[in-house]
This record gives sequence, structure tokens and C-alpha cells, in this order.
Amino acid sequence: MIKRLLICLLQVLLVLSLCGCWNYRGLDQVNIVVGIAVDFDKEKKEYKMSYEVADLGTVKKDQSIKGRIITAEGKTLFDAARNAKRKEKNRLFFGSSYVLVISQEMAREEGIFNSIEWFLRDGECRETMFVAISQEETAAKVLEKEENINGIVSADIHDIIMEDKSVSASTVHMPVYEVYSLLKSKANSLALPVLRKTKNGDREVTAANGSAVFKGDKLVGFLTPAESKYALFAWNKIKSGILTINMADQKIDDISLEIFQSSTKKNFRYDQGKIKVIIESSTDVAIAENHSELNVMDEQIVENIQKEAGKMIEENIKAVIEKVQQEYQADIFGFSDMIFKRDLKLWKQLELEWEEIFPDIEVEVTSKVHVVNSGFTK
Amino acid sequence: MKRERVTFNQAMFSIVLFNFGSSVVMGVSTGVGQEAWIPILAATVAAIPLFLIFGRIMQLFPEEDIFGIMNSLFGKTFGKIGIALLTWYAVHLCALVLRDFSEFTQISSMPETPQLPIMILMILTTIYLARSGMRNMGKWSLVMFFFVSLVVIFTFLTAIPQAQVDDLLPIGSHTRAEYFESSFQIFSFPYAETVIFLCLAGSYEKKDSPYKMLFYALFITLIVFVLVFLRNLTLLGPAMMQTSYFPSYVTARIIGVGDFLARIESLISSNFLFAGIVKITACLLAASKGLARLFELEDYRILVLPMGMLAMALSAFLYENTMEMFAFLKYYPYYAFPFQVILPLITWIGCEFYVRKRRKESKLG
Repeated sequence: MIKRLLICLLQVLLVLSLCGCWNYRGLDQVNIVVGIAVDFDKEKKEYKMSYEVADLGTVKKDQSIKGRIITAEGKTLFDAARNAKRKEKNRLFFGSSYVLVISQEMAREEGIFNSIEWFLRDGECRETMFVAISQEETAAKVLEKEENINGIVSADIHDIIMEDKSVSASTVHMPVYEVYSLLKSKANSLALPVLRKTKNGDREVTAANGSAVFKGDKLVGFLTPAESKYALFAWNKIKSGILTINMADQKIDDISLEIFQSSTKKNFRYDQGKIKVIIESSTDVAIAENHSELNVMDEQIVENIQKEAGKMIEENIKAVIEKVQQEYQADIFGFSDMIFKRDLKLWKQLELEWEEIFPDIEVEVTSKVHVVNSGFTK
Repeated sequence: MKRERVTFNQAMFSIVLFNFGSSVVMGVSTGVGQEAWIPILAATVAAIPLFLIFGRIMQLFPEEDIFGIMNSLFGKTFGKIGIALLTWYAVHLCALVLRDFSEFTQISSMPETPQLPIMILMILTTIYLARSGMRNMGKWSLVMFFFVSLVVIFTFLTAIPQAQVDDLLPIGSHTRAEYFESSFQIFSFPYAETVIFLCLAGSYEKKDSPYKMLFYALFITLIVFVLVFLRNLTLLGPAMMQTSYFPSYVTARIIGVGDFLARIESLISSNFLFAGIVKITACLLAASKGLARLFELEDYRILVLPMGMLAMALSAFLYENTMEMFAFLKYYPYYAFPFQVILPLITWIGCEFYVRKRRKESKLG
């Protein structure tokens, strides 16, 4: 009996010493980083980092959590992260960061691989954090906010970008691990979301502004929010968004179509030494605005709307593809990857001359639009 | 000593969990990226003849483990050399798995905790389990198999919305040598490691067919491996899968169903833990049984603790760092081949001769 009691006691004692990890740190002992901005100081050859941390110290009952910026410099990203401790009581904790903002200048000159490598290697950082490019002069500026405004900028940015494809369709969402995969794929090109400051009422806020085009890990140009929408079509990533067309020959667009569902198929044909990429999209929309009061009960009119919208999508997809083909020569739509995956033999033939072939690839787009309803009114 | 009896299910599921061991976490990723399913299948096919040999040995001597068989077949000297070799392999494998485990824990979740305490906790648990005997290991496997496979199925299903199926293409982008190397790797790690279970044989129910047991185990392992591979690949893509040490873990970090069902990587860690315990325990048991046979001791149980300590000490100085650990994986198949294939093969040939001779004698007599 006594032996049993002793064993039980021993077990309880053991449990006490086995809980949690060796280096337990409480919430009050860490600075939870929610957003990171990377700038590069060319003269000092140093990274200038800004970390937005969730400031838990100031939380009061009826206030939301506030963000606070910590800055640090270092020879590498990790160096900077540790240097931040020189001015802070607590260490930085990266497990909950949402967004990594990279300055435009650095993305153009140094490339982005340097900045994302650490986040993939370190166990604390998460691969689902996404990467964005700042259109302001520094990346840090995007994370700044006006005094006495509550909330966390990075969390706002996260929500803006994450929900973009199902609301306004104006930019891409690209987590770190996908950036890595794309850089290592045959296409070796990608697009990232772009952020800039803009006015919202009388407040200055951070907003999404289209996407940035990368060839390799270097920034080569931008796509406007409107162009990005059709790029999303080409990627088959579009979930929702608004298409506007002009039907009644007025000077302004008079019909809004809300996208319900869309799917795009990509394929290619190889004919007499020439590659032709075929893109077929099919979109379900609802008539959401109808300024000219066209009779939506009339089959012919609906037919026309569908045709017109389809034509508009076709032209715009074609335009954005041509732009990246000719201006940027970046294969962000993954044509090379598609050929590599579907026809290995052909790819081996083309691989060496791909750089020359790519800008002249002919693209054929066909878009079908199907109107499924017209809202509450006839 | 009273013989402990292990039921068919217990034995089979301990083989299955043994095979999962480290592979479920390290992923069955190989040098051939998106085509890893080819070497997985090839290795499984290659494992069939080996498992037939294992099964035959178990069938011919249902009451004996391989150490006993070697002893009676090859005489004292040669038998003991064979026993010593297999015992070494068991200890070494035990140390390797232990090290895998502690490296994984350090990288994934406790970067500042030294590896030794992690190893001590792990080895103490497995020593306890090994001392409780085969039957308890079998029971543990039976219960944990359902947990582990549920986790695999759950993560597979939750991964589907994010999966990119065309990552599976193209097929045939690697050279034959690469396919062969990858297949060989999967064959020897983990399939052929099942040789450890020959050392534990002799306590299975007589009426159960050892073939059935081994092939059920092989089949279940294959299915889980393919699921794990498909999940990891379609989520991570080939580049990311090849560059991570622990693709399954990274995959689990990425999986997110809405906002609430995310960060489920601890499930993968627990998978590793539960299957790893079986693997280490099986190796410990094999090593202790081998050593007991070597020194002609009655009870192997007293050797479990010292063998465990030996394995832990060994694992602490096996490699300098994680890179070495993963680099060794490349050479492991060649190192392990004699233990995994040649020794059982010789034993099997010996068995057949022995049995024929006996049959002749009994006919004459």
C-alpha cells in the first residue's frame, strides 16, 4: 500500500516537471510580431527592419489591441531580429506574423529571395505568412499608421489581401512557401501583391494596389488593379469581383456584373515549330446594376450582355498576358511550367531557347459568360 | 520463462507502426520529387520477395526467433557471429531512430532545449514498454495505429481544398539511376528494417500465417505512404517538399480550413512520437534478446535497461549535426543491406537445408 502511494506521488511529481517546454516564455515576455517590413541600406549594406508588434501592455477593457513599431538594423534578417532586443525588454516572437513587406527598391535590385529564405528556414516563422511589395519609398511606411488609431495595420493588410480574391479581385495572395515553389519551378516568375498608402476619408491608410511582376526573384514591373483582375482570370484564381460593360451606347459603363463563379482552363498546341497557348474561361455572373434599364427578361438582350462581357474578358486577358510577355518577359502565368508538366519531350526541345520563344507565343483566349440571375428586380 | 503470446492483430499493427516510424514525418520524399510514388511502388514490390523469405523463416520455426535459428543451424561460432551482427544492427537502428526523434523535436518545437533530456524521456518510456514485453507493445500499436492513421486521413482530407493536383506531373523527368536509388532507399528504410521482427518472432500464435501478417502490414504501410506522399506533394509542390527535412510537418503547418482549423502540426509530432515509440521499443527488444542469446542468459528483460542506455549514448555521438544525419540516409541502404537482406537470406537457405535433412531422416527412421 505504501509502495503504491509512493508511486502515485512520484508520478504526480513527474507530471509537474514534464509540462511545457524547457524555455517557456509567457505572453508578457514576448513581443508578438504581426508584420515585418524589410528595407535595405545600400551604403551601410544593412537590412533595416520594422516590426509591427501587438502591444498587449496597453490593452484596456473597451479598447482593441494596438500595434506598435519596433525598428532594428542588422547584417542579415536574423541579426536584425536579435538586435531589436537591445532596445526592447522582450524578445521578438515570429510565430504569428501575417505579412512580410519588401521595399520596391530592394525587390528591384537585391531580389526577394534573401528576405524570404530565413522565414522558411526558421522553425518559429510560418510558411503561410504572405509577401507583399511596398510602393512607398520604404517598406516601413506601409506599416505605419496615424496616431491614436486603434487596431493593427498588418492584420488589416492580411484581411484586405486574403479576402480580395473573393470581393474585389484586384491583387494576388502569395504565401512564402508558394513564392519558393514558383522561384524553383520552370517558370521562375511570379506576381506579388502591392501595397501603398492612400486616403480613406481624412485618414491615411494602407491599401492594396494591384500586383508586382517578378522575373526570377527581381521586380520588373507592376500590374494595375484592373489588370490584376484579368490576371486572376488567367490564373484561375478569381472567386468574385465586378465586371462593368457598356451596353446602351452611353459614354459610361452602364451594367455591372457580379462574378459568382469562374473557372479557367489553360492548354497549348504545338504546330510547325510554333506554340499557341489556349485559354478558355467560363464565368457565372449576376446582373447587379442596370442603369439603362435594359429588359433582362428579353432573351436576346441577356444574350448580348453575355457576348459583350465575354468579349471584354477575352480582350483584357489577352492584353495583360501580352503586357507581361513583351514588356516584362516574365512567365508569371506559368506557360513553361505547363509545357514541362504536360509534354516533357517538347519542353526539353524548347528549354534552351525559351527566353526567345516566350515573348512571341501566340495566345488565344475564349471566354464564356453565363448570366444566372438579375438580383431582386426584373 | 513463460512464453508471452502476441495476437495476430497486435503483431501486424506493431509491424505497421514500426514501418511508419520516422517515415511518416520525414515524409517518403526522395530525390525524384513529384514522382516519388514510382519508387514507393517499386520498393514495395521489391519488398515482397524479402517478406516471403521472412515469412518462410517464421513458418518453418514458429517457436523460435532468428537468433535461436542461427544458433541451431550454424553451430556455436558462426551462429554467434550472426547473432552479434544482428544485435549490433538493432542497437544501431535504435540509436538512429532516437536521434531522428530528438533532432526533429529540436528543430520543430524546442530549439533551445538540449537533445539529451528529450532522448532520456524517450528512452525511459521505451525501456518501460520493452520491459513490459511484446504483448504490451502490441496492444500499444493496436490502439495507436488507429490514432496515427486517423491523423493521416484527417490531414489528407483537410489538405484537399488546397491541393494542386498538376504538381504530380510530369512523369519521367528523372534518370533511371535516380529512380533506382530512391527505390533502394525506400526499400531499406523502412521496409527491410522489418528484419527486426524476425528477432522478435517465436511468440506469435501458431495458427496465424506469418505471410498474411507481413503482407497485410506491407499493404497498409503502402497505402499510408502513398497518402502521405500525395498530401505533401500537392500542398508543398516538389521544390518545397525536397528542400524540407520534415515535409509532413511543414504540410501540417500550411493546412488551414478556415481560420479556426489551422496549426495542426502537433498532430504530426504526436504521430512521430507514437510510431517512433514502437520502432525504438522493437529495436530495444531485439537487441536485448540478441545479447541474451549471445551470453546464453535466461531472461532478456534485465538487459533492456543497459541496452537502452547504450543506444542513447550511441545516438548522442552518431552525428555532429542534422545535416550529417540526413546525409547518412544516402549511404544507409548500402550499410544496412547485409543485415537486412544477406543475413536473413543465408538463414533462410540454412533453414531449408535443415528442414529437408530432418524430413529425410524421419523418413528413413
